[in-house]
Amino acid sequence: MSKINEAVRGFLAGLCDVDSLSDDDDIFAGGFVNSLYLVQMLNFIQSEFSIELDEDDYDMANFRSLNAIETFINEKQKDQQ
Amino acid sequence: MANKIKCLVCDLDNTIWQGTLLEGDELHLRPGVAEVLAELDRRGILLSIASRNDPSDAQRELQRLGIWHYFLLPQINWGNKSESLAAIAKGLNLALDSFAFIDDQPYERAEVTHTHPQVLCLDADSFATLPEQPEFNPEFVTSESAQRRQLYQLDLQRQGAEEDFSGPREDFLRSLNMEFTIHPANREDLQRAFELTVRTHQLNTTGKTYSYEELEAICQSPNYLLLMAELSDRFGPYGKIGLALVELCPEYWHIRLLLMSCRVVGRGVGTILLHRLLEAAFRKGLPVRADFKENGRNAMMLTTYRFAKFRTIQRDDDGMTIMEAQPYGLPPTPDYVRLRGGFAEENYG
Repeated sequence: MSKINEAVRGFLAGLCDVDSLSDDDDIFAGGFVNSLYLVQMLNFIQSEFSIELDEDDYDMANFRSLNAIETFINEKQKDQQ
Repeated sequence: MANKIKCLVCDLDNTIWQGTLLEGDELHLRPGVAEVLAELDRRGILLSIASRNDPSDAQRELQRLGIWHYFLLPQINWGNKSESLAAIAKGLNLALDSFAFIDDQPYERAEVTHTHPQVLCLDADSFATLPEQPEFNPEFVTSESAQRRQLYQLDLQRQGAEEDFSGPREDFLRSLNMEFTIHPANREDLQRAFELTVRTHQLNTTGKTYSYEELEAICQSPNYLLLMAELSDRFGPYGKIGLALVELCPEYWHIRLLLMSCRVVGRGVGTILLHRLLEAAFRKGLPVRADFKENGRNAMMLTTYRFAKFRTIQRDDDGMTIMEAQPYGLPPTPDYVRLRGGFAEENYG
C-alpha cells in the first residue's frame, strides 16, 4: 500500500468502515462518507501533502476513489515542485 | 441582537420540580414551569434535560407530572453536565452557542461554563420569566416552529433506523422513500423563509438575512425568483428545509442566497436544488452567477459551488466573492429521491 493510500485511509477511518473500502470504490456516491466530510477531507489532503487546490481541481473525478485521490496528489505534487 | 436560543437544557431537582428525587422527597412542579415549557415548545425552542439521577426513576416522575413528552434526548445519568450538553448538541446537530442551560446549582453552571463558554447559563430562579427574555423570543413563530419538536423526533427515529441498517448506504437512502419538492415561495412561505435565513449558518452561502418586507417585495418582483425546498420520507415530513433566492438578469441568473437546513445533512439531497436551478438557466443558454461570503462555518457551500463548476470572477473588499458557472451537462437527480413540483422556468427571465 502506498504512503498516500495509507494516509487517506487513516483519515477516512474516523468516518467509515475503511476495511471494506476497496481502492476503486466510490467514496461519496457509494455513501461510505457523507459529503459534509468532503470539506474536511480536502483540508486534510492539502495540509498532509503540502498541496494547494486551484478551483479547477474541484472535480469529483479527482476525489472519487482512493486510486483517483492518489493519482491526483501525485500529479499535483509534480506540478508544484 | 441577542443570540436566539434553539435549545434549553434543564436540570430536574429544584429546577423543574421542587425537591430531590434521590432523597425520596414528594416532588411537584415549581411555579410556572408547566406554562413555560408549553410556551417555549410552541415557539419552536427545543427542550432537553441534564440531570444527575437514576434515568428510569426520573422518567417515571416526569411522566407522572405530564411533561416527559417535551424533552428530546434527555440526559439523565451520573456524568458531567458539560458532557450531557455536548451529547445533546451532537444528537440534534446544533451548535452549542444556541444552547441555554438552567440549573439551581452554581457549581453545575460553572462546570458547564468552564467547558462550553458559549452556552447561556441561567439560575433556576429565572425559569418563570424565560419567555420574556429576548433570547427566547424568535422574531416569528411559524407553523414550522410549533412542529419543530416533532420534526426533530422524526429525525431521531431516522438516525436510529440508520444505525440499525446494515448494507450499503445507498440502499438505506433508497429505503427512506424520499420526496424532494421545489416550488416558488408564496405569501405563506415568507415567515419560514425569513426564519431559515436567520437560523441557518452552516449550509448558507452568504449569511445575509432578509426582512419579511424585503422577501415580500422579492416575491412579487418579476426580476427575482424565490424557491422553497421541502423534503419528506417514509417517517414523515422534514418541513421546508431550503431556499434559493435568484436574481434574473437578462444575461445570466444570479444566486443571491442558497441555503439548506443542517437537518438534511447526510441525506444526499444537498445539491438537488442547485442542480435544478442550474438546469433551468442552462436550458435558456444562460450562465449562472452566485454570491459567496465566508462566515467561518460555511466552507461546505463554497465547496458545493466549486464542485458545481463555479469559478471566481470577482472578489470584493467586504469579503463577498462572485462566482460563475457556464452551461454544462448536469448529473441526474439521484435515483433514491423522487423529485416533485419544480417551477415553470419558462415564466422567468
